[in-house]
Amino acid sequence: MSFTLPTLTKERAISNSSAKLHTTTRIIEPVGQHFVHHAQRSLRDHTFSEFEQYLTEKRGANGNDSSNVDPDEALFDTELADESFLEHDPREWKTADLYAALGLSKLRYNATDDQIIKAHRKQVLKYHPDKTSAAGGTLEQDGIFKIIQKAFETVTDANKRRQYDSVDSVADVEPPKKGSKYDFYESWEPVFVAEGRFSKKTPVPVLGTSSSTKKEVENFYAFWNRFESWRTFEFLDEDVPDDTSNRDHKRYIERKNKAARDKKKTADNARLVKLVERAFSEDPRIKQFKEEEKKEKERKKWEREAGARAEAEAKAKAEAESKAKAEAEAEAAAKSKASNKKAKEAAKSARKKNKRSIRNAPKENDYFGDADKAASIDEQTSLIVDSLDDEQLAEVVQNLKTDAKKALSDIAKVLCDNNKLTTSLVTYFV
Amino acid sequence: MSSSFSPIVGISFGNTSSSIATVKNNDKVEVIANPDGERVIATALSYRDGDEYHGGQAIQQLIRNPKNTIINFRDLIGQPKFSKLSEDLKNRCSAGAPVVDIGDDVPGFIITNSESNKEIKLSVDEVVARHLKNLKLAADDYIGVNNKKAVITVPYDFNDLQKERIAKAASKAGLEIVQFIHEPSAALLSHLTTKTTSIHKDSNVVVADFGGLQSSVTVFAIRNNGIFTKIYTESRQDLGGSKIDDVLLKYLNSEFQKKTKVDATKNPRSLAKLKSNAILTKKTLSNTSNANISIDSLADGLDFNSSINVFKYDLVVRNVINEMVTFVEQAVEKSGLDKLEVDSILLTGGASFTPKITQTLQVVFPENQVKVISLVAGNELQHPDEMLSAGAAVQASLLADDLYEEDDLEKLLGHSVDVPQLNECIGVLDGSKKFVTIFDKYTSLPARQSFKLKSLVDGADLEVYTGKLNIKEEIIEKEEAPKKEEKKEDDDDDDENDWSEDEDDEPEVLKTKEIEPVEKLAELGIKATKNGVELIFEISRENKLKVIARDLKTNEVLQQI
Repeated sequence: MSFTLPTLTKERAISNSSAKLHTTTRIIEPVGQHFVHHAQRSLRDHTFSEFEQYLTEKRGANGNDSSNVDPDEALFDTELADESFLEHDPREWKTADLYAALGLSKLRYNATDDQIIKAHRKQVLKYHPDKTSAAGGTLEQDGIFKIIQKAFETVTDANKRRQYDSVDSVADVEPPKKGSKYDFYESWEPVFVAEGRFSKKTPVPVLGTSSSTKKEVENFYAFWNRFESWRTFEFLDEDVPDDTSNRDHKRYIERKNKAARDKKKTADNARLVKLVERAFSEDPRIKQFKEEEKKEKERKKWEREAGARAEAEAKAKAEAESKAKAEAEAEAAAKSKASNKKAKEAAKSARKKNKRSIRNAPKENDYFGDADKAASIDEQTSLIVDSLDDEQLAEVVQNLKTDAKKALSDIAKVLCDNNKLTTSLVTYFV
Repeated sequence: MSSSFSPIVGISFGNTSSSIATVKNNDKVEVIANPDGERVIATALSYRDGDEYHGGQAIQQLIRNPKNTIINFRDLIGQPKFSKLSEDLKNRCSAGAPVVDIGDDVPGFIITNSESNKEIKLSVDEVVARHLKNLKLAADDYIGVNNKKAVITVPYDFNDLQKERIAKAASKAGLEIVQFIHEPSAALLSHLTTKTTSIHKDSNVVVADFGGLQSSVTVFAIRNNGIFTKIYTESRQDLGGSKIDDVLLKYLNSEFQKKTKVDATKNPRSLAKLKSNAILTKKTLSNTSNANISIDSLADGLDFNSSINVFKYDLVVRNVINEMVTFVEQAVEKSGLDKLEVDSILLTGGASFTPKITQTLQVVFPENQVKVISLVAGNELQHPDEMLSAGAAVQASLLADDLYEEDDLEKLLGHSVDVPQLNECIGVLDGSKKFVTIFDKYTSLPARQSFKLKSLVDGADLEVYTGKLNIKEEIIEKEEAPKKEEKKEDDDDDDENDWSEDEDDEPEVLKTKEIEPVEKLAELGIKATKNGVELIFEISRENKLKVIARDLKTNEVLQQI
């Protein structure tokens, strides 16, 4: 918007009326760049100029320098890569390096559409027949220009460009020679980057470094083992004659082309499989992981065995314990047996002693004054003694001390009552 | 592209169709096609023999397998109770699987697996999740990465619960919704980022979205170089592309009845056939002047062959088109703006392919003043039904930009959505004492505008005023009529033949808008200088006006208020 202001008529004092502006608070749509800027400004409490400064700083940091130098320029070739281009037969344009013709020999498959257009313009300005003839050449020397046009046509058509990229051997990177000494990462990285350009899936994982984690490395090889390539070999097809010529011949060429394409594709797939296999086998990280795994396994085994060992130890210990226990028990049993024996012997001797004392009791008491009946008393007493058990014996012995006769006759009575003796046998006491 | 970079995709999720878009490295918006090559993907799911069909494939199943085909389910999300569903919502699904109560009063669909003869109950949330999952898969295939984040468009009348449910369904499908944006603003954003846009930085734009089932009209004020303020919005559930289809279907059926005495609408299968052909005919007539209709065995084994030209078609669908145009007119009226204040009308949604809508709008709104932007008008490259997802993708790419990384996204988006805006316009008086608008009404504060003036040899007076818009009406004589560009015919003629004569006889009302200064806010004099002068106007959030005049060469501040 532009407008003209009225010319200055008189010296004006700066005046600012105190009139207040009327505002209403409304909801704005939270979309669009301008909203985001607005929100950032109010979030940070920036004024307009502060925010502008902030934005330029950010852009500068992100490398989007808005200076006038086109960063693409540096990436284009300054001179024609190969002088032989000038002599190249334009009819054989397929054999020429098309990217070099456009001055894109450094960028190749990485060139963006914008870059291609820019580079093409530059080359056209340089090699247009009008220019070259003005510089002294003849109009017929336009082979290079024709190749440039063909190259532009090929590279700007997505389909044709893929076909050309597929057979662009200059962009291929050879893997390091087998058996030679090389740095794995340095020499394989470009190989995989170059192969990765044919991937149907993006992003293609990177080879990484020696410090990559196991998962990353595994991912990398899993990706390459299941690699899907869009590489085609149509560009190398023999030209199919147009419809007017022999139809059979045309079909024959088409079939031949297809067979050749399939063959090349199979060969290419096999090549890639081998390549990945080789990289895998040479990857120091894989070796390292394997070693680590082995160590880990050993350690685990050791651990597992440690468990078994501990078990065995525990078992032995338990056995020893149980043995000791058994021995102790046996000993105790023996001891108790001995003591039983002793007790028994003691009891036996006590019994004998009791019996003897009972038998001797009548004699000691002079047969209770009935010395004439001494024989029968003795006999009867021994009968009583024989039929007494241990307790009664002790009891009787106790009673003997007070009154021997009474004790004997009491016990005889008891025995007779219990039918252990018949009364007739112990007539004296009953 | 660094490996950590994850693009955010933009999704538009409509009742009849959805689409998904992303912004490529070279800042080009690309609408993503599904494996069938459809860029506009029908919002439909169909189940047959244990397989799931999505998009166009599902729509094809409507004829043979309607009971297992789910359509028009978008608006059902966030409707917690089946018993509270409106009849309208229920009727929508009637052409496919009916919406039913799947237990606990939850609305859903019952699908029969013909292989195992088992019935599967699908809640609406589940259906939405499956639909989004299919969209995500298409995007994953296309971009070649696992997309995890998305910006999705929703209509204005969606409530928080509905948004929450969509977010939940999306997370089931493996997508995190970064932001919900309103459909009309997505369309506008998408249009503004195209290079061919004819919309001025500061203008009033009407976004008319004629979708499949519903239409909405939103009046936006674009200010501060590109901040949108919704002035008014209205949506109608009963107006949309399917209404055109219905009218056309009725017409085709009457043609069929004339020839065969058979009513094709009686049989659901014939109806479905006729419907899909009506849609096809509508689409054909958007591009060509004549369409042939040929349906084998439409009903009772009878074939239907007919043709319709664009004029007949316009006549048939006239009522619906008029309704749409009236809807736009009324919305503008309700927004409080005069027709003259509208700068552009942006048509979006599938139904706006119909050329008659654009034509009628051009007639109803003042010519040369209001620009109708649509695919038909030839000034727009973008397909109207891809605009929403494209707009969402633009917004998504903005959020994915590194520039905003350090700011918390959520905070950024929720922050300062409500801002003070000017109630009147502010401007200066130019050389011929005409009012030049600096800040228009609805400008959000704080605001800044700068102008560069060429050499001021004599110095300049600068007076800043608030302004008020006046619509002047004047009746002009017929001789003057051809001279004036801005005219508005006020004819309600009845006969077409003498229409042109009528126009000459009737007085014309010329409406012009003019802003007159009301209150002086500030004045200053700028000293003469040979170099150019940059004028910077700033209004702070506390609505303080500041004017700076700066010498372009020496950067010296000449005057300042």
